[in-house]
Amino acid sequence: MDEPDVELLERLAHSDEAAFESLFHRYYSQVYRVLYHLVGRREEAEDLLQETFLTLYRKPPRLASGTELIAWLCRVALNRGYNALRGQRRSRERLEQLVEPPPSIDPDDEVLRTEVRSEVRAVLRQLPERQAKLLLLRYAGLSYAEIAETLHVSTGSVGTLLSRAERAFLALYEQSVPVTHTNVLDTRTP
Amino acid sequence: MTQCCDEGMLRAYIDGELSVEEKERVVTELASCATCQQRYHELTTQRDRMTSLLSSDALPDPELILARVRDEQHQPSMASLETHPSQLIDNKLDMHVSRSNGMNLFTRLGSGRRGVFAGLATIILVLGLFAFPPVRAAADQLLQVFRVQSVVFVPIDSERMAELENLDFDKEMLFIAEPEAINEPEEPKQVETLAEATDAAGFAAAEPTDLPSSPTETELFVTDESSYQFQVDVEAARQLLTLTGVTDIELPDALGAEPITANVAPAVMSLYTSDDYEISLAQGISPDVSLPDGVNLAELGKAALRLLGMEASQAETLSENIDWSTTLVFPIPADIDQVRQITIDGVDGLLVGEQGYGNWSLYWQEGERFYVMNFDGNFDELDVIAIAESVR
Repeated sequence: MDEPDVELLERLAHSDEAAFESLFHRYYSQVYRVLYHLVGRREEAEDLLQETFLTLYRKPPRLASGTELIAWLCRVALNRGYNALRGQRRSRERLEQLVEPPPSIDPDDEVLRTEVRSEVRAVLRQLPERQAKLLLLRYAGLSYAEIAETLHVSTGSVGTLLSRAERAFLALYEQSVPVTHTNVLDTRTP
Repeated sequence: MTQCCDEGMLRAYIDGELSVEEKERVVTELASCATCQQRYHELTTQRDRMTSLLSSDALPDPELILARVRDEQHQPSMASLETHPSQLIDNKLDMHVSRSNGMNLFTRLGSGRRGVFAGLATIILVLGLFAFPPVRAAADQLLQVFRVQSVVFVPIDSERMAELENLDFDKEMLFIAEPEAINEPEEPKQVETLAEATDAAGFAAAEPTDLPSSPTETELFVTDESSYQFQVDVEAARQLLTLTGVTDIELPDALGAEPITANVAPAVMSLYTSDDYEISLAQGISPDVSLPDGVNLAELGKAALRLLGMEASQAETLSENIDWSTTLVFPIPADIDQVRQITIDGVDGLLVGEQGYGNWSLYWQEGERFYVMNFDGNFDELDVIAIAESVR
């Protein structure tokens, strides 16, 4: 049985590097997925992932019983991610020159993925923040209870909020994406 | 006939997030209800579609990110700082500035509830970055005591700081005597509501309206009014200027002819605590100071600027453009990243902190009102500014 988060956090509070590594391996993939879909750029998502875990390293939270570290990590990550986006909006002029460079060697498939990704990101930003966060968390693999804790909602309401958010997302997405893309994408679905 | 399943329940069923009983209910319902079957199908399609759109590409190499976190954590400049930079400032201040005039209000609170009002002390006493007598005396005691309506930030370079620090400066030479309380304040009083705070303080107390989440606890205090007086030793002040190479400034005898009095108005301190943050706000009216007749404020201001290392011509220009009776001069170290100027709702403010820490202190001034906030939690610069801008 894996060592519980609370014990690892206790060790981390005493600067135990091994405890930090265990926590990192346990949660980095979920936190990365949340960040990646939010900011849409690998390097930026990696930077934010690094910042999020650096916060954990420097200030490990004291978890109340029945609370999850992943919820805390995702709150930190979402805060940082959204702030990074707000920062970008504030310096829009600069940003306009920094259009995401296309990958240098890119099979057609990859180009399509890149387009879909940026469209997904654009639609997520049009959604109310809470709906967008809900989708980011769910599709990063968080359970309903973990989502509920991250967003301060009741676990029982997650299903309803999620289905609404998905409907809102898809409605906006269908409006903004040419049919060919979505068709091609559908064939890729398992 | 049973009742149709609600959408949330069906959605949770698809994700395997129901209890055994709930699941049984949905299964029974799905077996017999065409409407539910239709809805179930729609929700499944919706979920699959989302999964395909939000599927993840490859993950980063975990070892690479771990190495970056470790590097960042072990950077020499960080390693020596077990604490947030502002706490270092606090410590310095505790040693050097805690007894300076007007600061009593804040340090007294700070010592009673260490950490709670530390941010206030930090920023009000940011001058403690220059925690040595000459600059403190000049910038803090001489200038801060005026009725502040705006703030000017004067960069001071590290060379000048070192120069002043290394000055063999005898404590006896402090040109402003220890302030004497002529009206001792009572202990801060705790109140229940913002309206009570407003009544007690005599100005409309504000609060942050956009906190990251509802605080689990909110505490409000109102400090008592107090007044102090202090005497300037003009001869010592002249010596100090000479010692620091400032020879183009004439200080009038009138400056030391009678004591300077400072009336410190009541201030409101509030503390917002939640599971993952602690934010404090201090707000008040700048102290009201009366100076002896015949003292030219611009001359005094210029003296302070010269003392801080500003070129004579620059000090001249700046001092002519500043309304010294209402302006607070804040010396800020030009080459320290943790201290920088920002804008809060269009007015200048000073931010102390660093991205990696999540702890920040912020000072800003709107007319006669000053605000000091301290943030402890997972905040970055933009969070802090957004919260400060929500104070109303």
